Amino acid sequence: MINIDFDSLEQPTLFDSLASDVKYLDKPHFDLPPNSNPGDFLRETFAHPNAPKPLEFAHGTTTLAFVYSGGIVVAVDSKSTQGPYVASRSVKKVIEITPTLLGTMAGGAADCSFWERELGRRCRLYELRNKELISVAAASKILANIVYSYKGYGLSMGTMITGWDKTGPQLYYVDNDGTRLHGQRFSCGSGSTYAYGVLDSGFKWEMNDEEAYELGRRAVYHATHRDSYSGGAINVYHVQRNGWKKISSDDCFELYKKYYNIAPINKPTN
Amino acid sequence: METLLSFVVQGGVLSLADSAINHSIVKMKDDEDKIMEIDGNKLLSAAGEAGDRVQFTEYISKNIKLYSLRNGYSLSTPASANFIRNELATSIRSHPYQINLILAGYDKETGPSLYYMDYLGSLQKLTFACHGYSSYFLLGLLDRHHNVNLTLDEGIALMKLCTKELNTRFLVSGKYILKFVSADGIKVIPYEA
Repeated sequence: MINIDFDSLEQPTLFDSLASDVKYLDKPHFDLPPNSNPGDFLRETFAHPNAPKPLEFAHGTTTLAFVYSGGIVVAVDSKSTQGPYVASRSVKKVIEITPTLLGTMAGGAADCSFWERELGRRCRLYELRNKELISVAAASKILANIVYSYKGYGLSMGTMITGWDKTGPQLYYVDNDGTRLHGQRFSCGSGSTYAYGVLDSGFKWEMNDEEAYELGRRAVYHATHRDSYSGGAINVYHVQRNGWKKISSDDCFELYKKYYNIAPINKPTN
Repeated sequence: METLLSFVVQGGVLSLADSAINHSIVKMKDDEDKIMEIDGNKLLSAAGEAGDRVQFTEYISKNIKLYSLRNGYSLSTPASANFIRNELATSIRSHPYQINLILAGYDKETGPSLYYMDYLGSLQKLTFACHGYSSYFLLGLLDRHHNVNLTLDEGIALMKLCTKELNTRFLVSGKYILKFVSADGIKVIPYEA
């Protein structure tokens, strides 16, 4: 019998450090700044009199989603502001995570689009590994766990995750302090309180699809009217058994003219 | 503005928690269950920082479950209380969980018991316990009316008395969830404040 010396394989080698690098490639992560507490560091830095102006996020937003007899309606505005500056009036605040899952964007636009894109990647991997679609509960939990692990690092997002899985139409609210709530009606963003007023008072479980779209559109419309940081076009999506569908995209001003029956003010009178 | 309230009665413990989730001035939800059921004989009520509550109580309940799978028997209520306290105390200096807790349980050998914990890691065995601003209204009321020989029905009547006081004097009012743990396990008691 020949004894082979395997000891050399036990020694820490290049492969070990490679293996530990590969381990971290498995899931995306950020190298954190070399401070014991990056959150405090940022606060102190920006509190300094010579500090540059801190970044301002696309805060002004109205998004909402609700479950009714015909599925889920998601309605959002499309204005993006950085402080007083209107950066865009045509932002896609509904994020198409997978063909069956929708997410909404409120708070930091980059945070929402990055992490919901990452959520889409994880959901697709789940699907490939398990040969079935991920449940909305599991998908929203992945996102909630991600944002919870970055709690205190300054992420800013308020999002609704919706979809139709084995258990029917599902709606979850997830935000940057790690809250994850299951519910029937949610609204998020600076205009959410105005939208809630219209949504809660006009909501019925039994609605036909057109009524539901109109309720969502109206709720966001009234929020854009009162909340100067919301506006642009209003996008409406419908989630059904076989996936989501974009229903409409209407300019707020056109809706204003329609709802209040006002003649166009820019038209020459002669 | 969250409310947690538990007290011992004959043969069990009653646990009550409000069911609202508030974000600044918005009530996001009014049917959230803040009383986690563990092992079929323990109720862990938790309130505090958003996110921490679910993360911490799930971590605790899964670890207590893991213990019972590894050892073939469950952690008793006092052992669970010490385990939870230790988790709070070790995390306070590095990544504090800002949540206050009440653990209620029933053990075959020792009967009903109740433990009060706060986010700093203090632990106290009591016969009634309350967390939140509502404790300013309820502790006096419970000093006056509570004793451990109340029957279940008297206990529920005392709960009603407490929530009635909250609805008359406390700034916030809302819906509650009531649970009872006894030798027969955990029961959710339909509750109208």
